[in-house]
Amino acid sequence: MKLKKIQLHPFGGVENRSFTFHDGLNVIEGPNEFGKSTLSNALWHALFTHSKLTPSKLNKTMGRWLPKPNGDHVQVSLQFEADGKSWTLQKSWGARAESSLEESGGQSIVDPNTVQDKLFELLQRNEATWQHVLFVNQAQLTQTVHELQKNANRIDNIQPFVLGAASIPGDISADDLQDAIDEKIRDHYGRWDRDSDGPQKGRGIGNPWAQGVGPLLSAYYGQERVRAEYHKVIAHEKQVDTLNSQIRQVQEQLKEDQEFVETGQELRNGLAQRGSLEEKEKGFEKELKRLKKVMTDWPGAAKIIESKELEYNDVTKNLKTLERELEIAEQLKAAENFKKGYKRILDSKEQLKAASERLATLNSISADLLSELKNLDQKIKELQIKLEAQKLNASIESQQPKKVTITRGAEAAEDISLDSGENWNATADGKVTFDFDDLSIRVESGNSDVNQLLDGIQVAKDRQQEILRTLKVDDIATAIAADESYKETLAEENRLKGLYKSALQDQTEEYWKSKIAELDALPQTRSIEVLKDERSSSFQKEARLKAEIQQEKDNIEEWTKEYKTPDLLTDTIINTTTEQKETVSKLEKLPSLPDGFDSVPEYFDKLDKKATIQRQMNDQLTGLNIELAELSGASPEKTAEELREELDLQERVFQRRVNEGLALQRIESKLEKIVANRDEADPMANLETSIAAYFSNLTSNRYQKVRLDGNAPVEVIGPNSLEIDLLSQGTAGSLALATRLAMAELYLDEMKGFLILDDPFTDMDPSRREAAHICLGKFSENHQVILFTCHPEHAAEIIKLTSAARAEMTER
Amino acid sequence: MALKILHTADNHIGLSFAKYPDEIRERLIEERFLALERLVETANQQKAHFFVVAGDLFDKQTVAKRLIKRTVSILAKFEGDSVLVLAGNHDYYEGSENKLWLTFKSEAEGTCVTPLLKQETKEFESDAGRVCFYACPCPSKHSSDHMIGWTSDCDKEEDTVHIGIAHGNVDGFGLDSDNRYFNMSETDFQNSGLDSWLLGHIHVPFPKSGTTGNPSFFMPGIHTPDSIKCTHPGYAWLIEISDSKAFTYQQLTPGGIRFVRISDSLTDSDDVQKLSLRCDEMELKNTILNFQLEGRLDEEGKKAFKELCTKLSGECLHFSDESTIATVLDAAAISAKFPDGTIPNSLLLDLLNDEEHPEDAQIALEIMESINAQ
Repeated sequence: MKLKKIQLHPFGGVENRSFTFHDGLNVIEGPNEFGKSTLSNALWHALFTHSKLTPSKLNKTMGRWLPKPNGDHVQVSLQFEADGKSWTLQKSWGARAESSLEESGGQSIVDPNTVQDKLFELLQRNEATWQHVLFVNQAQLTQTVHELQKNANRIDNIQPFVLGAASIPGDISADDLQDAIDEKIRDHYGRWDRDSDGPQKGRGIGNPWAQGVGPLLSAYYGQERVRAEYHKVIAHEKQVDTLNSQIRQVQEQLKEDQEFVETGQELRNGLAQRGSLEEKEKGFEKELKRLKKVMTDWPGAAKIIESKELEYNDVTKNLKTLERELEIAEQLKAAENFKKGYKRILDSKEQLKAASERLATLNSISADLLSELKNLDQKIKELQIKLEAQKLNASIESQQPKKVTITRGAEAAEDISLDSGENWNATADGKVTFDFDDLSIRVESGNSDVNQLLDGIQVAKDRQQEILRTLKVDDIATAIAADESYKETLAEENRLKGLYKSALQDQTEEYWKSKIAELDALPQTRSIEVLKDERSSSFQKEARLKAEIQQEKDNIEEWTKEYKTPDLLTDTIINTTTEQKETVSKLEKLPSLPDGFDSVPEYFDKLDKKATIQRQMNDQLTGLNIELAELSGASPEKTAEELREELDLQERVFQRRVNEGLALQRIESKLEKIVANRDEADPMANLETSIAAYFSNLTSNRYQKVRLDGNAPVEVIGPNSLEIDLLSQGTAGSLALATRLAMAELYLDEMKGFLILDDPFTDMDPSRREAAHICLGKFSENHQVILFTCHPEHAAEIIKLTSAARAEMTER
Repeated sequence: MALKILHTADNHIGLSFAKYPDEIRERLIEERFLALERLVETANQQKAHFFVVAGDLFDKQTVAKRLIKRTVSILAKFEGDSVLVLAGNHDYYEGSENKLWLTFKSEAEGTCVTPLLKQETKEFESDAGRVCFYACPCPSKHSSDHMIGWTSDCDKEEDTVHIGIAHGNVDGFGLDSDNRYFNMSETDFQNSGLDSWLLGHIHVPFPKSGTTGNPSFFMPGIHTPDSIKCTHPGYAWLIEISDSKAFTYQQLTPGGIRFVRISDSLTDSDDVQKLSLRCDEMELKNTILNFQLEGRLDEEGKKAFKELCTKLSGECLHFSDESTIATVLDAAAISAKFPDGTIPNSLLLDLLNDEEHPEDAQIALEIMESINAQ
């Protein structure tokens, strides 16, 4: 932006004045009252102050520029070049607040916001840059010198030094800001464990940290202390409520029973009498009931006895008949068994008869003959064995059919028929004989006397046959079988004889027969079970009737003994009735039993119980009251309501602290990111070089360098190097101007812009001033400079030494 | 002649006001007596027949004896027939061992001050006719049951004014969602068959408007404010009951201090100006003023607000500021404060983009300002 012309109409004490600027260095010279400050402010407000202001802001911002005494508005018009175009800006504040920005040959903007936005766009640098870097008033330069000298020993980096030295408020180095935020976070979270979100080591209000407690923990402790107290009070109140509730309950119960107990005490004597009289009355009633029953029963008792005795006799008679029938029934039952026994006798007798008859048909084999037979048989077998040892093989063959009788050993002769040429072979024991036709061929073994053997066999066999004939059996086996059969049948006959005898049971068969005949003559009866049941019930009836009869007899005896006669009994009833009436009459005069009770003892029982409970409850009440008094004595100083209010406040405070902590962390995080990005392209990188260059020029090369300690200029280096704090006022002023010019150059960079300077040479001696003029002239070759001065000689010098020109002023 | 009753309640003598500085606390404690004195004076000037305290004359059971003594001495200055003091839920009476009421009774002996500590009727023959009061004291601090049921069983004579005195919440009127404060209802009042009820407990007055009619109950409200929650100046009723049992009632304002909390939102310097004018309308020397303001102000507005707070701190009986007012920090404001390219400028603009945490930029700015202030 390049300024062309400004008109104040009106502004402050200026009614209507214009200044026309040219490129390069513009000098505006005049005494202090001339209006330099007015012009500077008019320019500033035209560029940066919104035309639409609240009343208070108007008063605060523009109030001093309203024309005295009654001016209601101020107005500034400004012509400038920017963005390659010419612009006309007009702003007025107060009664005629408005803005307009017109591009030469273009559109005009009148909306104050849009005008201001467009202005910021054309200004390229922000308001603060213009204010602190490009609008350098005298006070700022003086401050720069002052800051330089004051801070020389503690400046620790270039950026804050430069900005601080140039008296640019607000700007802060990243390190300082980071340190401050770190410190703030450390302080804020002092003794607070962010991981567990509570006090470090869990030290709550029971064991609080004393040192290093940050605002967050402090607020937390504050909150928790009040909370604990609040809960304590609530607990106390609950305790009191509980006790009060118990007391009320006891009191209500006491009250409930109090009337009952008090009334009961008053009634006690009367009711005590009532108790005994009621008992007596009940006794009379019971007695009368009994007497009346006797009175009713006595006359009928004799008839009852008579009637029951008749019945008793019938039952007794009937019982006898029953007994007889039962006896027969039992005999009949026994007869069945008797008949079975008799049948067994007849059966066994029949079987015996059959066995005897069978025995009679069998041979009785003589034991001697049978033994002889067996011996003969044995002997024959032995002889035959011997004979068989004399074995002969015989063979015959006939040339023509022939019948031959062959006798081998002791065997019987056999007849064989041989066909023509037929061969016959056989063996023979000891001897073989062939008889045919008239020929007899006998062959004998030559080893022993075969014939003797054969004879012995034959003798034995003959004897056998003789015995068999005697025994009338065919062979020895039959003899043995006949012997065995005979013996078996004989044994059977003996067994049946035993059975028969046993069945007779030592009686004769005639006895059995006559007995059966007797039994068959008995009459038929009911079953034994039916008879026994009937007999049992008859026995019971008999016993009952007997007892009843006895009871009646006893009653009569008792009544007679007690009352003598029924008439006298009537007298007793009358007397008792009279006594009962007297008792009832007495009862009617006594207090009555309260409702809900059946008797005085029941009432007294309840009364006593309630009185006991009352005493216990009174004791309990006393205890509760003492407990409550103790509790009340220990009442907390503050009420729950007060503490709740306090707790609300503390909770709000704590929440604010929590939010602050989180905000600090977010700020820290964002700052770290900005610093990380900043390291890649530091806009202030060339600043110290630029300062050194300007400073060298301003001191006519007396100092060529600025020595840095870290980033801090601590020494200006030249032929006579000096610590910064030893710089003269003039040299410090030069350093301040160098700093200012370097800063302005840095910010104006490639852009079109202007620098406002207000009497920058005041503290310089002529030689330094000259150097400054030259230096400024050089600066103004690239940037428009508006230089205010109240020193005519300064103005003249700079105009002489540079291409500077005075700004043209027009007064209307 | 109309029967006149001055009806107050919830005087809460004994409140400690512990969170306030000593001198303010003493002033607040004193105010509770002074307001009571004003009421007694008014009652005497109005020639009231009865002075009824419907519970919570005292704030707690552990009120110092000297405070009880002073309270009784103030009440004893009443020149009418009787001062009837009901035990409320704060100064409940649970039995004969209660030290608070033992002291009170002892001090009140021989005066016109009568504590109402049990359910009973108190009948008086005044200049204005016969009146029967039905005392329904609280036996504890909390109870889900009210204490007025018994009155419906009492025989009531036609020519007598029947007035109930009770303490507790009324359905639909106060806040007692847990039903812990002797909750009563319109139906309970109707069932009682009394001409009206003088109640205590709720710190705001009822009826809300009007001066005539036969409301089923009166609630005077606290007699002088006791906390920031109390937005009114402190009230009591002066009730007149004609022979025909028509009620007229006048609201008294015995309070000498005000608690005021302002919870507006400020957006610009004009709002601060309006706030200042609003404060100017208050009697600041008797006002406990608390700001819980929010919003955002530009630097000028914040400065004005700070000046206002400083002024109020000097002029108010007590002033506290719990406001959370952010500084209007927009890009323009930041640009006006920090040159382009500087760390503060970059950081603040970045923070400004975090719309969820508008306060962050302000906090960062304060840190920056604190660094510069060094």
